Amino acid sequence: MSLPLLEFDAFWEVLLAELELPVVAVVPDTLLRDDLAFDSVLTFELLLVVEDLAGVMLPEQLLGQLVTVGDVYNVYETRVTQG
Amino acid sequence: MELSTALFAPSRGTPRQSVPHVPLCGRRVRLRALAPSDYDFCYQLAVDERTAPHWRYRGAPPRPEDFVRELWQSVLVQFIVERRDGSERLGLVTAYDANTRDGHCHIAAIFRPDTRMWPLEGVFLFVNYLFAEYDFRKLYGEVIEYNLPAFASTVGRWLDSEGVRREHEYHGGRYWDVHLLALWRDRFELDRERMLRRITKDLPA
Repeated sequence: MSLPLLEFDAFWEVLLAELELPVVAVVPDTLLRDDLAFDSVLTFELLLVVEDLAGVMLPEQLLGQLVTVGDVYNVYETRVTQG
Repeated sequence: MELSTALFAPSRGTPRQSVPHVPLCGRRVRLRALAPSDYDFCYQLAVDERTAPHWRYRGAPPRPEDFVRELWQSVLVQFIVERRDGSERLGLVTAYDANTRDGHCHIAAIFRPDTRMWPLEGVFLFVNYLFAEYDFRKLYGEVIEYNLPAFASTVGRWLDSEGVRREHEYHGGRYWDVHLLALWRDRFELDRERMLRRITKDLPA
C-alpha cells in the first residue's frame, strides 16, 4: 500500500511535531544546521521520521548530503512517488 | 516429576508472566557480546588516527597486550555494534565504573569513522538495555570539548550538563575541556517507547 504524499508545509509540520520541536517557519532553502541548529543526533531522529513517513529505509550516506529543508523533502518525495 | 520441572513449571491456574523483551537489534544494527575475535577490531579503533583521539588513549597507541587487559578493566558490560545481518562490525559500546549503591554508571562508545546513522542507533539500544537490566538512576558520559558539537541538541533535551573539567586533557597542541553529561532514567523513559518503536520498526530497504 502506497503512503500518501504530504505537501511541503504539512510534511514539515508532521516532522517538527514528531521531533517535539517548536514550530518554525521554513522554506526549501532553510539550512538544517545553521538555521535550525540540527546536529547529528537531531538529524538522525529526523531521518528515522522521514523513513517512517516514506515507508522505506534510506541509505546512510544521505545523512551527509542533507543540507537544506528542501533536500529532506526531496528525498521524502522521491521515495514516496517511487513507491 | 523431576525437581527442576516441578520448580519451574507454572502451577495450574497461575497466570503466566510474560518475559519483558529487551531488544538488542534495531532497524540497522544489533548489539552482540564482545568476543576475543573482536579484540583486533577494537585495537584498530584505538590506534586509527581518525578514531583514536576520541577514545580512552587519546591517540597514544597502547601496547597490544595491555590493551586486551584494559579493555575489560572496570567494565560492567560491553557490546560490539554490528550491521543487523552480522556482516560488518561498526563499533563498541561500553558501560564502566558502575556504582550500584548510588545507582549510576559511565558509558562510552567508539565507532568506525565512516559510520553516521549506526552509532546513534547502537547507543540508544545500549542505553535502553542498561536501564532495563540494571537499576541505575542515571548514566554518565564524558565528552571532550571537540566532540560536544555533535551532541549539542541533546544537552538540555535528553542530557543534563553536570560539570566541566576545564582544560582537562591535552591533545593536538592544546588543552580541552571535558564535559560530564548525565542521562537520567526518568528523562529517558519519557521518549523510550517512541524512540524504541521507531528504531526497531522493520522497513524495506
